[in-house]
Formats: sequence, structure tokens, C-alpha cells
Amino acid sequence: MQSVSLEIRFPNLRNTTYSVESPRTPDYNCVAWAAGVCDRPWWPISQRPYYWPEEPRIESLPAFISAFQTLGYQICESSNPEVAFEKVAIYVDEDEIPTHMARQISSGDWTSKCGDLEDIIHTLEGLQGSYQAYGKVACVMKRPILAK
Amino acid sequence: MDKLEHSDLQTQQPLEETFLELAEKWRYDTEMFSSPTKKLNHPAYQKIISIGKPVIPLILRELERQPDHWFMALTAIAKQDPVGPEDNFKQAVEAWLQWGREQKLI
Repeated sequence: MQSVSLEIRFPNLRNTTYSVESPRTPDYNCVAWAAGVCDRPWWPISQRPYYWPEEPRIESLPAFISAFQTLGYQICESSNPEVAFEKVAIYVDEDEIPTHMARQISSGDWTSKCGDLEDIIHTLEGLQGSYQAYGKVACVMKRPILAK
Repeated sequence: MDKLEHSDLQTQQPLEETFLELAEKWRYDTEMFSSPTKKLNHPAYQKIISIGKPVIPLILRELERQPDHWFMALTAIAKQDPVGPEDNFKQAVEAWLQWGREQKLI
């Protein structure tokens, strides 16, 4: 399934493979989704109910990296899938402020919650681009897949 | 919180139209953003906040009709935050609606 609303905001989606996987909801956002949470949005501000796993709450790339380090992720070089590892990607705008996060799935594609819009499966390139898209991928992190 | 002034109620109809136009503009322009800061800084959202206390009942009704990121506006205007530290999004919405009922604003 495709989405006109998404393709207007993210023109690269038209030229890449993607699929819509959920209805719209404001209940959670991209960072929460990357962390595997879907009942509250994550963002480093003090306003409730926005959650952040550590203090201080700063809207910066180092702060996002640090937050996901608390979840066991470490910076890695490649966005290619690796056996026994799961990866997340952090997008930033032209000021290096984080705009978005995506999580890799086993196929090597990525899953994202696009703000209050739908969850999609996509390529990293699909959400890149200038405003209103999410800028560029500035950092990829990985952690060992936890035994269930 | 102060009660609404009578003059506020007299102007509620055009205020509602203004609010709904601003809310629609804000929602369309920011619904792809995960950053609540980007949502907060949108001019339409800032204009809603600048209206002040008369807009609170309208925000609460909109929050009830279509839950959205109205927490920052409500906190900025009401100078209160009934949301608990562990509340999720749905619980935060319900906390504000309950607050509105207690204040007799909805």
C-alpha cells in the first residue's frame, strides 16, 4: 500500500520501494518505534508524556546516540544488515539536529514511524531529503539481538 | 485557574473558527514530524497559545475528538500539568480531559 500524504513529504519514496504497515496515530513516534515502544512518544524535552531514557534532555545528535547507548547500541560504520545484530539509524537536518530514527528489520529494509503518520517499511534513502523530509542519515548504531 | 470571562464566551464562535483553521494548518504542516519542538514552534501553534485561556475549552474538545500533541499548548496556557511522570500518550490525553471536566471547561 502506498500513501500520497507520505510521498508529498518524502519525494524519494516515489523512486524507492516502501510499504505502509499501520494506521496513523500520535500515540508513539519514530524514536519510540526504533526503541520498540508504541504507547508513548520519545523526545528529549521535559514536557509530559514525552519520554527520554536519561538526563539531561538535549536535542542533539550526541544526546540521541547516548540515549541509545543506554539500550545497548554502539555506533557502527555500515547500514548493511549483520547476522545477530539489530541496527537503528539517526537522521539529522542541516543543523545536525535529529529529525528521525529508523530501525532495521531482518530483510535489511528499515521500519519507521513517520511522525503522527503511518509506520512504513522503506529504504534509508526513501526518507532522506530537504524539508519536509528528514535530511540525511548521520549515524547508524547496532546491538546484539537479544535472546528471547 | 481563573474562570472564563463573559466576553470570552461572547466571542467563542469566531474564536472557534479561528482555532479550527489554525489547528488544521498546524496538523497538516507538522504531522510528519516526530519532534514536539517542531510542532511547538509552528506559527499556527504559537498563535493558538497566544490566544490564551479562552482557547482552552476548544483545545480540550479537539483533544477529545482527535487526540494530538496539545499538551505543550495546554501547559503553556494553563500553567499546570495534570499528566503523571509515567503516563503514556492515551493516559496523558485522559489526564487533561479529566482536568478539563474538573475545571468545568468541557
